[in-house]
Amino acid sequence: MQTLYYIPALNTTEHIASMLSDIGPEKEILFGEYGAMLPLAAPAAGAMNGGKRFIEIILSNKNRDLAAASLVSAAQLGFDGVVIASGVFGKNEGMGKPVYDLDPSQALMLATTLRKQKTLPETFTIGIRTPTGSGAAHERARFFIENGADFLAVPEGASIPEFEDKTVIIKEYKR
Amino acid sequence: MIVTEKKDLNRIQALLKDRNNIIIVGCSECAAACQTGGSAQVKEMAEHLTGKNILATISIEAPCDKRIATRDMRRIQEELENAEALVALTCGSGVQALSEVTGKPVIAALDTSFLGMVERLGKFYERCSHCGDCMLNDTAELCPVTLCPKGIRNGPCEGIEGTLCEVFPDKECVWHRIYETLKERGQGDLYLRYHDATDWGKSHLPREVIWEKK
Repeated sequence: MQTLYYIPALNTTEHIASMLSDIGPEKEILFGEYGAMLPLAAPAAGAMNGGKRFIEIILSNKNRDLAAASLVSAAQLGFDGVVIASGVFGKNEGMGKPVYDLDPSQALMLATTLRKQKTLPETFTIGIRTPTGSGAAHERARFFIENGADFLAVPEGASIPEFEDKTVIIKEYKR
Repeated sequence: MIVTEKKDLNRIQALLKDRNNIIIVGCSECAAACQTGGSAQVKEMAEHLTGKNILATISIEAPCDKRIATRDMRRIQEELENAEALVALTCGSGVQALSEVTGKPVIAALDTSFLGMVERLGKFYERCSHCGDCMLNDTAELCPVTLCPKGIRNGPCEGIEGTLCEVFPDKECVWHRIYETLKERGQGDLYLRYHDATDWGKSHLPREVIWEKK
């Protein structure tokens, strides 16, 4: 199984550069959306040199138009692929209305369609955060593979035995 | 049933500051079942509005139905003519129907919460989000649009913890329940039936249903 080093939150370009230096140049890295900066800004911090670079597209608080724009922008900015996720559901006082216009399966269909249409390059890799640990989760993993996902992303300690060759471990980078 | 909750009484009193002659209207359907707008709550409201001249109190079977509201308000026509405002212990549809029917200012005394399933008095559960694209026939009569906090139509999401919901860890993930129920019924093939993103082009607010004449 491959490993993607996950940086969940990007806050400043200096912060990104220093984390990349810690992780090492040849590692495959997944940039998350939980910081002050969008991961689309990672190239501005010189993040694209070295191993493959992936961007996490969380679907919470994006409608389908923004999800599509994020996918296309990621490819145009040189990312090698994407990891689709529904995203962590926040419960904060005074929060805005949560938006889940697309679920991961629907976003997968969107991404594979964009790739078929050549709006995304054929080499653009589509991964998806995949539930594990129950029959329902396992069947959903099967759906993802049967519908064009290139890999199933799971956290450290989780596995999907039937699709081991398609599974990528997300190793969260902690400082 | 439309589930309603009482607004703060001080807010109602503030809204009635410059109005003295009042009619209080209750709903003997949904709001009565919620104990927010039944005859007991109408009486209670009348008692709370001290210093106001309560011209009439009335409980209407379904104040959201303009036909019924029109018919029943005729019973207090004289009081209505003298009223400066109505206080409606009804859902938002009831408030607006009463305003249209009477032409009087109507103070909404309740907040409208959700379309609820009643287990017993005092226990109301949201089970339908009226999304306009019902998928219950594929999901063992469990609505994931409502029962999943993310409203995911093809679940579960990656946040599932074993069989439990990521957002409410004391509850089972609805997609786990759907899967298990369909499997028990021998309808497992329905579980992975793909449900496209909701077509909101059909659901612009305000929605209307108008029967076409045959």
